Amino acid sequence: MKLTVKIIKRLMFTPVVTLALFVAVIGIKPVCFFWFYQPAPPDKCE
Amino acid sequence: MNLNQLAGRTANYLSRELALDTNKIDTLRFGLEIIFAALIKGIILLSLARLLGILPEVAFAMVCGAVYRLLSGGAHCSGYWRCLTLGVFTYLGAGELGIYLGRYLSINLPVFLLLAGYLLSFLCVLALVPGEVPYKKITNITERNMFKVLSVVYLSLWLGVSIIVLRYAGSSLALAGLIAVMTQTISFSPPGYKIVHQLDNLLAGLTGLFMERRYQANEADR
Repeated sequence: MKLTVKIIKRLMFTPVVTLALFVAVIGIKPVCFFWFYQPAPPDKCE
Repeated sequence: MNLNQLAGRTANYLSRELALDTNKIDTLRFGLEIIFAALIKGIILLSLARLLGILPEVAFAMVCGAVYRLLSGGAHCSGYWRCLTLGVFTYLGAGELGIYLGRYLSINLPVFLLLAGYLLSFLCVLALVPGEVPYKKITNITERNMFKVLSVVYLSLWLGVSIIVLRYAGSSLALAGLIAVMTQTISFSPPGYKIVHQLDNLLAGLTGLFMERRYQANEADR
Protein backbone atom coordinates (compact mmCIF):
# COMPACT_ATOMS: atom_id res chain seq x y z
CA MET A 1 0.00 0.00 0.00
CA LYS A 2 2.78 2.39 1.00
CA LEU A 3 4.67 1.57 -2.18
CA THR A 4 1.58 2.26 -4.34
CA VAL A 5 1.10 5.69 -2.68
CA LYS A 6 4.78 6.43 -3.25
CA ILE A 7 4.54 5.49 -6.94
CA ILE A 8 1.38 7.59 -7.41
CA LYS A 9 3.03 10.58 -5.71
CA ARG A 10 6.13 10.18 -7.87
CA LEU A 11 4.02 10.06 -11.06
CA MET A 12 2.08 13.16 -9.99
CA PHE A 13 4.96 15.29 -8.77
CA THR A 14 7.59 14.59 -11.44
CA PRO A 15 5.91 16.69 -14.22
CA VAL A 16 5.37 19.58 -11.76
CA VAL A 17 9.03 19.53 -10.75
CA THR A 18 10.22 19.25 -14.36
CA LEU A 19 8.03 22.19 -15.39
CA ALA A 20 9.21 24.31 -12.42
CA LEU A 21 12.88 23.60 -13.20
CA PHE A 22 12.28 24.45 -16.87
CA VAL A 23 10.52 27.74 -15.98
CA ALA A 24 13.37 28.59 -13.57
CA VAL A 25 15.89 28.20 -16.39
CA ILE A 26 13.91 30.52 -18.68
CA GLY A 27 12.87 32.88 -15.90
CA ILE A 28 16.40 33.84 -14.95
CA LYS A 29 17.18 35.44 -18.30
CA PRO A 30 14.62 38.25 -18.91
CA VAL A 31 14.91 41.64 -17.26
CA CYS A 32 11.81 40.85 -15.24
CA PHE A 33 9.00 38.37 -15.48
CA PHE A 34 6.05 40.07 -13.86
CA TRP A 35 4.41 43.39 -13.44
CA PHE A 36 5.66 44.88 -10.20
CA TYR A 37 7.15 41.63 -8.82
CA GLN A 38 10.46 39.83 -9.16
CA PRO A 39 11.06 36.47 -7.45
CA ALA A 40 14.58 36.14 -6.01
CA PRO A 41 16.66 33.94 -8.36
CA PRO A 42 18.59 30.97 -6.92
CA ASP A 43 22.02 31.90 -5.46
CA LYS A 44 24.14 30.15 -8.06
CA CYS A 45 22.48 32.11 -10.91
CA GLU A 46 23.36 35.55 -9.51
CA MET B 1 2.66 33.14 4.63
CA ASN B 2 4.05 35.00 1.61
CA LEU B 3 4.50 33.59 -1.88
CA ASN B 4 8.25 33.08 -1.41
CA GLN B 5 7.70 30.96 1.72
CA LEU B 6 4.87 29.03 0.04
CA ALA B 7 7.10 28.20 -2.95
CA GLY B 8 9.98 27.31 -0.59
CA ARG B 9 7.85 24.91 1.45
CA THR B 10 6.41 23.30 -1.68
CA ALA B 11 9.92 22.89 -3.13
CA ASN B 12 11.13 21.28 0.11
CA TYR B 13 8.16 18.89 0.15
CA LEU B 14 8.54 17.92 -3.53
CA SER B 15 12.28 17.40 -3.21
CA ARG B 16 11.73 15.16 -0.17
CA GLU B 17 9.05 13.10 -1.94
CA LEU B 18 11.13 12.69 -5.10
CA ALA B 19 14.48 12.42 -3.29
CA LEU B 20 15.84 15.34 -5.35
CA ASP B 21 19.33 16.69 -5.17
CA THR B 22 19.43 19.32 -2.34
CA ASN B 23 21.23 21.93 -4.47
CA LYS B 24 18.24 21.90 -6.86
CA ILE B 25 15.77 22.99 -4.14
CA ASP B 26 16.40 26.75 -4.56
CA THR B 27 16.07 26.52 -8.37
CA LEU B 28 12.84 24.55 -7.89
CA ARG B 29 11.58 27.22 -5.42
CA PHE B 30 12.30 29.95 -8.01
CA GLY B 31 10.44 28.07 -10.77
CA LEU B 32 7.47 27.35 -8.50
CA GLU B 33 7.35 30.99 -7.36
CA ILE B 34 7.13 32.12 -11.00
CA ILE B 35 4.39 29.56 -11.78
CA PHE B 36 2.35 30.41 -8.65
CA ALA B 37 2.70 34.15 -9.29
CA ALA B 38 1.56 33.84 -12.91
CA LEU B 39 -1.37 31.54 -12.10
CA ILE B 40 -2.71 33.62 -9.20
CA LYS B 41 -2.37 36.92 -11.05
CA GLY B 42 -3.74 35.60 -14.36
CA ILE B 43 -6.77 33.91 -12.78
CA ILE B 44 -7.68 36.90 -10.56
CA LEU B 45 -7.19 39.52 -13.29
CA LEU B 46 -9.05 37.65 -16.04
CA SER B 47 -11.89 36.60 -13.69
CA LEU B 48 -12.43 40.18 -12.52
CA ALA B 49 -12.27 41.43 -16.12
CA ARG B 50 -14.88 38.81 -17.12
CA LEU B 51 -17.13 39.84 -14.22
CA LEU B 52 -16.86 43.49 -15.22
CA GLY B 53 -17.52 42.62 -18.88
CA ILE B 54 -14.20 44.08 -20.11
CA LEU B 55 -12.30 40.84 -20.81
CA PRO B 56 -11.12 41.61 -24.42
CA GLU B 57 -9.80 45.06 -23.47
CA VAL B 58 -8.01 43.79 -20.33
CA ALA B 59 -6.55 40.77 -22.18
CA PHE B 60 -5.20 42.99 -24.98
CA ALA B 61 -3.81 45.53 -22.48
CA MET B 62 -2.22 42.67 -20.50
CA VAL B 63 -0.45 41.25 -23.57
CA CYS B 64 0.74 44.72 -24.72
CA GLY B 65 2.00 45.70 -21.25
CA ALA B 66 3.47 42.37 -20.10
CA VAL B 67 5.69 41.69 -23.14
CA TYR B 68 6.93 45.30 -23.13
CA ARG B 69 7.68 45.03 -19.40
CA LEU B 70 9.56 41.80 -19.92
CA LEU B 71 11.93 43.63 -22.29
CA SER B 72 12.16 47.01 -20.61
CA GLY B 73 12.13 46.32 -16.84
CA GLY B 74 10.86 48.90 -14.36
CA ALA B 75 9.76 49.63 -10.82
CA HIS B 76 8.61 46.87 -8.46
CA CYS B 77 6.63 46.53 -5.28
CA SER B 78 8.39 44.89 -2.35
CA GLY B 79 5.78 42.13 -1.89
CA TYR B 80 3.68 39.91 -4.13
CA TRP B 81 0.24 40.79 -2.73
CA ARG B 82 0.93 44.51 -3.13
CA CYS B 83 2.15 43.80 -6.68
CA LEU B 84 -1.01 41.83 -7.35
CA THR B 85 -3.24 44.67 -6.11
CA LEU B 86 -1.39 47.32 -8.12
CA GLY B 87 -1.21 45.14 -11.26
CA VAL B 88 -4.91 44.25 -11.13
CA PHE B 89 -5.92 47.90 -10.66
CA THR B 90 -3.60 49.03 -13.47
CA TYR B 91 -4.91 46.58 -16.08
CA LEU B 92 -8.57 46.80 -15.06
CA GLY B 93 -8.17 50.59 -15.17
CA ALA B 94 -6.61 50.37 -18.65
CA GLY B 95 -9.56 48.26 -19.87
CA GLU B 96 -12.23 50.54 -18.33
CA LEU B 97 -10.52 53.71 -19.56
CA GLY B 98 -10.15 52.21 -23.05
CA ILE B 99 -13.89 51.56 -23.24
CA TYR B 100 -14.76 54.98 -21.79
CA LEU B 101 -12.47 56.92 -24.15
CA GLY B 102 -13.45 54.75 -27.12
CA ARG B 103 -17.02 56.03 -26.84
CA TYR B 104 -16.07 59.70 -26.91
CA LEU B 105 -13.08 59.99 -29.22
CA SER B 106 -13.53 60.55 -32.95
CA ILE B 107 -12.22 57.91 -35.38
CA ASN B 108 -9.01 59.76 -36.32
CA LEU B 109 -7.90 60.84 -32.87
CA PRO B 110 -6.89 57.34 -31.58
CA VAL B 111 -4.45 57.02 -34.52
CA PHE B 112 -2.73 60.26 -33.50
CA LEU B 113 -2.76 59.16 -29.85
CA LEU B 114 -1.11 55.85 -30.82
CA LEU B 115 1.57 57.69 -32.83
CA ALA B 116 2.21 60.16 -29.99
CA GLY B 117 2.41 57.28 -27.48
CA TYR B 118 4.81 55.41 -29.77
CA LEU B 119 7.12 58.42 -30.21
CA LEU B 120 7.19 59.22 -26.50
CA SER B 121 7.84 55.57 -25.55
CA PHE B 122 10.50 55.31 -28.29
CA LEU B 123 12.43 58.25 -26.80
CA CYS B 124 12.05 56.92 -23.25
CA VAL B 125 13.29 53.48 -24.37
CA LEU B 126 16.40 55.01 -25.97
CA ALA B 127 17.18 56.98 -22.83
CA LEU B 128 16.13 54.69 -19.97
CA VAL B 129 15.80 50.98 -20.93
CA PRO B 130 16.58 48.57 -19.28
CA GLY B 131 14.96 49.89 -16.11
CA GLU B 132 16.62 48.63 -12.96
CA VAL B 133 14.94 45.62 -11.34
CA PRO B 134 15.74 43.85 -8.08
CA TYR B 135 18.16 40.88 -8.34
CA LYS B 136 19.09 41.67 -11.95
CA LYS B 137 21.41 44.59 -12.59
CA ILE B 138 22.36 44.85 -16.25
CA THR B 139 25.64 46.71 -16.57
CA ASN B 140 27.01 45.14 -19.75
CA ILE B 141 26.68 47.71 -22.59
CA THR B 142 25.97 45.05 -25.27
CA GLU B 143 23.23 43.53 -23.13
CA ARG B 144 21.73 46.97 -22.36
CA ASN B 145 21.70 47.83 -26.09
CA MET B 146 20.09 44.47 -26.88
CA PHE B 147 17.18 45.24 -24.54
CA LYS B 148 16.84 48.74 -26.07
CA VAL B 149 16.70 47.26 -29.61
CA LEU B 150 14.24 44.53 -28.55
CA SER B 151 12.00 47.12 -26.86
CA VAL B 152 12.01 49.38 -29.95
CA VAL B 153 11.23 46.40 -32.22
CA TYR B 154 8.42 45.38 -29.90
CA LEU B 155 7.01 48.94 -29.80
CA SER B 156 6.99 49.07 -33.62
CA LEU B 157 5.16 45.73 -33.77
CA TRP B 158 2.71 46.94 -31.14
CA LEU B 159 2.00 50.11 -33.17
CA GLY B 160 1.33 48.09 -36.32
CA VAL B 161 -0.94 45.59 -34.56
CA SER B 162 -2.77 48.41 -32.72
CA ILE B 163 -3.53 50.25 -35.97
CA ILE B 164 -4.92 47.01 -37.47
CA VAL B 165 -6.93 46.39 -34.28
CA LEU B 166 -8.20 49.97 -34.40
CA ARG B 167 -9.33 49.51 -37.99
CA TYR B 168 -11.01 46.10 -37.61
CA ALA B 169 -11.88 45.55 -33.93
CA GLY B 170 -12.72 48.99 -32.55
CA SER B 171 -10.94 51.78 -30.74
CA SER B 172 -11.52 50.59 -27.16
CA LEU B 173 -9.09 47.64 -27.56
CA ALA B 174 -6.35 49.78 -29.11
CA LEU B 175 -6.78 52.50 -26.48
CA ALA B 176 -6.60 49.95 -23.62
CA GLY B 177 -3.32 48.67 -25.13
CA LEU B 178 -2.02 52.25 -25.45
CA ILE B 179 -2.79 52.98 -21.78
CA ALA B 180 -0.99 49.77 -20.72
CA VAL B 181 2.07 50.68 -22.82
CA MET B 182 2.14 54.24 -21.47
CA THR B 183 1.83 52.96 -17.89
CA GLN B 184 4.79 50.67 -18.50
CA THR B 185 6.80 53.55 -20.05
CA ILE B 186 6.14 55.61 -16.90
CA SER B 187 7.10 52.64 -14.68
CA PHE B 188 10.71 52.54 -15.94
CA SER B 189 11.16 56.33 -15.83
CA PRO B 190 12.49 58.05 -12.66
CA PRO B 191 9.07 59.55 -11.70
CA GLY B 192 7.55 56.07 -12.20
CA TYR B 193 9.95 54.55 -9.65
CA LYS B 194 8.90 57.26 -7.16
CA ILE B 195 5.17 56.67 -7.84
CA VAL B 196 5.40 52.85 -7.50
CA HIS B 197 7.54 53.22 -4.36
CA GLN B 198 4.96 55.56 -2.80
CA LEU B 199 2.04 53.31 -3.77
CA ASP B 200 3.96 50.33 -2.35
CA ASN B 201 4.45 52.20 0.94
CA LEU B 202 0.78 53.23 0.97
CA LEU B 203 -0.40 49.62 0.44
CA ALA B 204 2.09 48.36 3.05
CA GLY B 205 0.74 50.98 5.47
CA LEU B 206 -2.87 49.93 4.78
CA THR B 207 -1.98 46.25 5.27
CA GLY B 208 -0.18 47.10 8.52
CA LEU B 209 -3.20 49.05 9.78
CA PHE B 210 -5.58 46.20 8.91
CA MET B 211 -3.36 43.57 10.57
CA GLU B 212 -3.03 45.76 13.70
CA ARG B 213 -6.81 46.17 13.97
CA ARG B 214 -7.35 42.43 13.55
CA TYR B 215 -4.73 41.74 16.20
CA GLN B 216 -6.38 44.23 18.58
CA ALA B 217 -9.82 42.63 17.92
CA ASN B 218 -8.37 39.17 18.66
CA GLU B 219 -6.78 40.46 21.85
CA ALA B 220 -10.12 42.01 22.93
CA ASP B 221 -11.94 38.70 22.31
CA ARG B 222 -9.66 36.86 24.74
